[in-house]
Amino acid sequence: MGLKRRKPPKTRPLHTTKQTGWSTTTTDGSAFDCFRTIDSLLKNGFSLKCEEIDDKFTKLFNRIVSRVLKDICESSCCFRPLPPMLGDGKPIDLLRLYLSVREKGGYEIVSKNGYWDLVAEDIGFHSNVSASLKVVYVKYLELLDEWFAKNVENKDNSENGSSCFNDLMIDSSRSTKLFSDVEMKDYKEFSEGVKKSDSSGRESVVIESVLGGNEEENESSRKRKRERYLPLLDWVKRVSKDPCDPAIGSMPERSKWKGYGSDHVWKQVLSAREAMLLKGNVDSKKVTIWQKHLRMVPSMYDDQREKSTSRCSQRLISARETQSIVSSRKPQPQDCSESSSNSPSDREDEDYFWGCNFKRKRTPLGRCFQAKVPEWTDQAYEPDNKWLGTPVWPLEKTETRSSLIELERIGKGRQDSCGCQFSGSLECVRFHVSEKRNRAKLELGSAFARWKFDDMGENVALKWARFEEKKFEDIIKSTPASSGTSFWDELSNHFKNKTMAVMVSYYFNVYLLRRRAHQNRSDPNNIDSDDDELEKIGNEASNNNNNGATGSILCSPKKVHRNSR
Amino acid sequence: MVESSSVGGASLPSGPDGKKRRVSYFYEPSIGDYYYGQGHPMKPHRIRMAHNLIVHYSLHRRMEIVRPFPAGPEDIRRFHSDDYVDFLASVTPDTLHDHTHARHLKRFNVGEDCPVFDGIFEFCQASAGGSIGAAVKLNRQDADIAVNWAGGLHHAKKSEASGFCYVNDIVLGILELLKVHRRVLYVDIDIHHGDGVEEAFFTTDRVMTVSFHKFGDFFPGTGHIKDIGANQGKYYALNVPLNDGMDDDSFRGLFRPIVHKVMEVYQPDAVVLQCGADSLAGDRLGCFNLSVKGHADCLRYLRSFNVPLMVLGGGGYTIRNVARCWCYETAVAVGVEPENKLPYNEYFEYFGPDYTLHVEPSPLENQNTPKDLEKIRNLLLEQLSRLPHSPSVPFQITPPITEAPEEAEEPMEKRPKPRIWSGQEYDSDVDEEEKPRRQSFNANSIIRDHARANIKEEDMMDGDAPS
Repeated sequence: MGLKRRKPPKTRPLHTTKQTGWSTTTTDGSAFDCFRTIDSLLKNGFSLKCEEIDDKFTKLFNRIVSRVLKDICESSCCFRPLPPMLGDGKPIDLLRLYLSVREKGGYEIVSKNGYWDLVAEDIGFHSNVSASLKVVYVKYLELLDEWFAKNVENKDNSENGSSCFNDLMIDSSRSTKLFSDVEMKDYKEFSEGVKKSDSSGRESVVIESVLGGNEEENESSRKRKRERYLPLLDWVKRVSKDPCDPAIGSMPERSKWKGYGSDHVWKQVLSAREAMLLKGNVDSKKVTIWQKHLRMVPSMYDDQREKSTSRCSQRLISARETQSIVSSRKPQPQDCSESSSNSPSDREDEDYFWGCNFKRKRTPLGRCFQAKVPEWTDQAYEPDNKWLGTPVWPLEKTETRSSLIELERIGKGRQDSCGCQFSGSLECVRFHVSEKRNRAKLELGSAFARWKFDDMGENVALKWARFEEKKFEDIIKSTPASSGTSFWDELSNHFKNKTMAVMVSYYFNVYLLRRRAHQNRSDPNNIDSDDDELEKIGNEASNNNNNGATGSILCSPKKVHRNSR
Repeated sequence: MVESSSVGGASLPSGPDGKKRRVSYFYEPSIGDYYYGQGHPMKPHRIRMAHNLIVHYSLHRRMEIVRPFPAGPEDIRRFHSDDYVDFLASVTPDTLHDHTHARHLKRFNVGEDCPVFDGIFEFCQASAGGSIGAAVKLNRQDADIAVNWAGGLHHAKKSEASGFCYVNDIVLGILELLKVHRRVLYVDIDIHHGDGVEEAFFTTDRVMTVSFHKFGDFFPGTGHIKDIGANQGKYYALNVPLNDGMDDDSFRGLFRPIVHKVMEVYQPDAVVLQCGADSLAGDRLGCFNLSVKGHADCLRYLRSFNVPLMVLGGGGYTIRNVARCWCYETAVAVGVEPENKLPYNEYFEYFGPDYTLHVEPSPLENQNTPKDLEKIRNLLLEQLSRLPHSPSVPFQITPPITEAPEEAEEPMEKRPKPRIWSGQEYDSDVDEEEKPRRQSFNANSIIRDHARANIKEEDMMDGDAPS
């Protein structure tokens, strides 16, 4: 169980070097709070690596399988016992089978490439049972695969989804989310980590040496700490034992999570998860180095909390997510000494460096995600000629142009000076633009119209009456961003005779151009060609930007969770 | 900068390359009128601005310019799932909240970043049609370089819109290229990770994806340095995670050695370069500090390998700089160094108050220390050296059947169509005989050649002023 003292699977020898900076934070206790939830989760994380938890996972996994099967079987009247057994009565560990197949690229790839033998060996059977395993996989786990795919797809709209697994999904969503989002991933990452450290063998020695020195003095404090998280851990354990246990209580919809305080156990778990996945970097000026994998934290926290420092912990302390989630007390930002050069081992330091702390989004595998790439063949290539498009340039030979056109040199810019009375004035620029335009028109011939040069630049204004232009400008100016309404609504209300396309064209070709002309002459240090006045999306994003920026290209936080598939 | 000089021969500049490339350029004249909505940073208008600049610099004379054929739902289904394509083809802002569509909005991630706007599907069709067309041009050996600034929408997933992208024109273009080319290299210099393309080809070795992007608390969150592909595609995805403030020298110090190594070990038959311009200094959403020249250096370098090259757009949210960048990159493609003072053009005022092609990068702290960069470079180079030399389509050296490229300028339509060989750089020394020689990728010759190229390049930099 998680409470037993476990060696971390991996650790870095960095802690052995003297580092400073940590103690200042910890003395006032705020850092302690910051770490509370993380630590608790890490304790849970700890447990993931031990054999009992393997067992626990298996149980949870089997439970989910049985739920899925139950649904299926009810509709198709078949019976599938759990756990499945081979002919000789040996039970098959579905979780390991599932993970093994997944690791090899999924059912299709395994079948196609005849990897079933490997799978069998992988999970501790002789390769002669591979056929049976395949059958078991098809009967039990393929459904699960589908179900997982659906689960991911419908994660956010389970309320209107119509899948037959819907109710299953809803009532077990609390736990399966935890299961599929965090634990599975952690479990996998974890087992990778274990493998790695096993293979090197070196790290365990390092761990010993790191832990050796202060084992005793910290033992008691560790115990104390652990006790504080007992309720939280218990809850997690209960959920993993039986996600549908009514005793667990219910969780509100995600949209309402924010409103709950951290006195709810589930909220603490979520906070811990959040903190673990945390990737914020508020204090990026001060902390320029990427932080180490969060999973590295326990050893340094447990064993050397008072003494050691690390960039990792710095990041945690300064990151805004932690502040908002865990504690209202402001942790003290502090300078973080660059310590990578102090590190005794570059290799270890690299883990630190590669930003493993950032939530590492995995690329999903399967035919729902990858393109179908055919084998290469040396066949004759006969493309559809439609793809060659409509040639516009060079002009057809039949199109005759005056040979007297004086062509500009390719790549030529504008002249240094012009003869205009007020060089650089609006009138001067307008004159030269129109002159250049006419030259281009002569050279381009039919291409001029085909590229819609008539719809470029201030020329577009010719189709607008003076009063319309005035009104257009007035409407935009009288619909400030703060009003919350789009000026396009106002515009289309007013200009009933103009299509949206016509107005958008005027906006970019004339309105913005003129505004920029004005800016260039009145306020050249403060120009903006990309200001749509109502920066609605941008504002929203910056207002709720506490959830991290990976969900939206605009840093809109709303899809962060959804994308964590 | 220290960064590039400290690695000596590993930072390999491409040589000046006077040889002409046959360039096909796809432009949909209505592209500038698509509008994502008020306040939305993605503005297709930027493509029209770039085209306008290109024409006023007379660059069109060195290109064949076509209007793309719009890709049909069937064509788009070659990558995207049926129900997603059906949805895209039928949804409009007016029917958005109809029962059937509303159900799909979340499922397909359409709504916030990726709004439903007027003509959404036509926009996707034009973008995808251009990239597929570009691939066909390269496949038919009608062109050496094919450009589609309306393409490069690298976030779109098989059944999900993402990051302003609905249809992944890149994946569709690469699938077309794969009909003829055994191995395709995809390089992505958008500030955002090229997740859609990487995901689509994550398990194949016929496409190698290389993405340079800001990583850490940044959209889309994928692109960890240790994400390297899976199954058959293991080691055929490369991710270069970067921090804020990347400048020209730092970028070049990573891009050139890594791409060089990739070209050496992977020997692609065709290359696709996504030129997302949000990695430029002063981008509205980006946080790098590249100049237009630094950005275009990536294209210049890839061009020097003389492998069929598809050049696509992508992000870019300070539209005046996007237009500058793509105009300059078009010039690089056709081998022209345009003057810095912008010619008068319909969008002249957008480029004030300087009205120049190049703008000074802002003084921004580069949070990528030389040490970080060196680590990244070394790790990736090491990873590349572990790349098994046995992709599903075996490497074989096809003898170059290249004719000597023409020196004298000829009208585009008359120029012969030299078959271009892939996997090797032309010897770029223009003084020497034009005949392309086979160049083995052994370190000595590379260093020698690049040392020579270095000198040449300096000459060229001096000669940046219009001749």
